[in-house]
Amino acid sequence: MDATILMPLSLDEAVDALARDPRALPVAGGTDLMPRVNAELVRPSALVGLAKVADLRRWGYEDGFAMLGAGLTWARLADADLAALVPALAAAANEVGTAQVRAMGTLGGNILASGRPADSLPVLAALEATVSCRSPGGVREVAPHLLEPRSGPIAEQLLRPGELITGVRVPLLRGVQEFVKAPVGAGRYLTLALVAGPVVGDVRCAVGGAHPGPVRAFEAERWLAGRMDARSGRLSDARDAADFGRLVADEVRPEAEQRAARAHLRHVVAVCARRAVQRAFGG
Amino acid sequence: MSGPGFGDALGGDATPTTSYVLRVNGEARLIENAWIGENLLYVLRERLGLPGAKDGCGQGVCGTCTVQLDGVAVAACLIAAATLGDREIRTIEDLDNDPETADVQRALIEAGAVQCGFCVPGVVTSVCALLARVAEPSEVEIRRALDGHPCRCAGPHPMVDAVRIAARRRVPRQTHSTMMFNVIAPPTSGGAE
Ligand SMILES: Cc1cc2nc3c(=O)[nH]c(=O)nc-3n(C[C@H](O)[C@H](O)[C@H](O)COP(=O)(O)OP(=O)(O)OC[C@H]3O[C@@H](n4cnc5c(N)ncnc54)[C@H](O)[C@@H]3O)c2cc1C
Ligand code: FES
Ligand code: FES
Repeated sequence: MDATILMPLSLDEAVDALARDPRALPVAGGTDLMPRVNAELVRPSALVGLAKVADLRRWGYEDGFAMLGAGLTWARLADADLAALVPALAAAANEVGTAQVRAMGTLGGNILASGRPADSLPVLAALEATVSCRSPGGVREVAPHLLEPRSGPIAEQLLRPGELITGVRVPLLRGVQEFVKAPVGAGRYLTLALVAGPVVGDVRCAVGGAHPGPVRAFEAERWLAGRMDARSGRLSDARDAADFGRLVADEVRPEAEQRAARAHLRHVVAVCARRAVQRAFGG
Repeated sequence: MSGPGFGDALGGDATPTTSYVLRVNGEARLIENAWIGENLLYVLRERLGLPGAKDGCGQGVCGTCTVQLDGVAVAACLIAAATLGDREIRTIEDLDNDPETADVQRALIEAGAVQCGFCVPGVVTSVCALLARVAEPSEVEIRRALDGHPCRCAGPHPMVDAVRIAARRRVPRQTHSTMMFNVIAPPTSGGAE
């Protein structure tokens, strides 16, 4: 009989298990997979349980980067130590689902979630973090902000069949990090991450929930960077936040079937961006 | 029912099954020839005869299926039972033996949080997990711990009041020195890992 449940004890074993049976589905927290299994939308032929792979739950430093294991739960990411390292990810963690989902749902499972847009992705895109994808052949680093956010599910662009996400590599930044999330009806959310680096002029902004993947607003970022005072890093004008919001909305152009819905989403993106700038720069 | 005991219903000639041991309420229970996609809620209710956790939605949104996993409140319907390994599950049936649980239940009744009762086993399970971790949770901590329990009858506020009542009864009156201690070393918050 084929093995239908595999419980690897190490990363190597997990990667081998997936390589041997590429149809086997990894299960981390199960909070994205199980609603689909319960609704009979997915019928796995084999499962690779990741609960015993301790390496997936580790985190550490590596010259200027934080390495966060794919198995860290939202609850863990919100703890004070990790919140001090990557504040925007902790802010996102604090707003995820319910306590029960935060206790089980993981970073790696979120990056690949197909049930709803992943709240971690705009944060990772704004931080220009990379995702480590491992197969028996070695490790590939993929940067979510360099993918094609408008062209389809991010999981398919990110991971090749048989690969395992082992963690993410997040640059440690000294500046401010903001995360804003807004419900827009029918269980849909828009999210926005804003990172303003320690160097004046280093601003990055990514929007989630508007398209299949996180969309960076590169032009709006450059505009805002140009509005920062070269010495103090403060913005030139109190109206900059609102103007930035409109620029982000114009650039991101959220997707919706109806025109009125698109206009509403655009407005929400603008408000999220304005709020993020007001929180980051004051005013 | 969202419980996936539908081997045949899915034309299950090639239904992948497995046998495994689950640690439930302090005992090792053998689950034999079960479909690999069965969620923990289904296994508890239909295979182990533990109906305390309720099947409200099967989608992780209602909180009625809440059980404790290594002491942390989780939604049993979101867990693939066969991948749990040796993690410890505790259900309301076993929590009911603790005197602390009776305090929580009494506080919920006093606060008016028990009406139709469908959400209550889940709420009690979450409150017990919270109070075991933080003796005197702040309002924010209480609301966050209970944000997965939408109560259609009484709303969120009575259950928050109930946690305060239960916590106050449980914690002995603080002396000056223990208060100082709390200021120096605040209780850590956090989750599963
Ligand atoms: C009620 C509810 C509310 C939610 N709210 C939010 C929310 O606010 N924001 C949000 O972003 N998400 C939300 N989610 C979705 C989900 O809970 C999260 O995305 C969660 O982080 C998924 O992680 P998991 O470990 O549970 O994933 P799983 O379900 O275990 O896995 C998800 C997918 O990724 C694959 N996978 C998991 N780990 C790996 C790995 N290391 N390598 C390769 N493949 C892997 C699995 O095979 C599966 O296909 C919610 C879900 C529910 C049920
Ligand atoms: S049955 Fe509703 S959350 Fe599990
Ligand atoms: S008492 Fe009826 S749902 Fe809570």
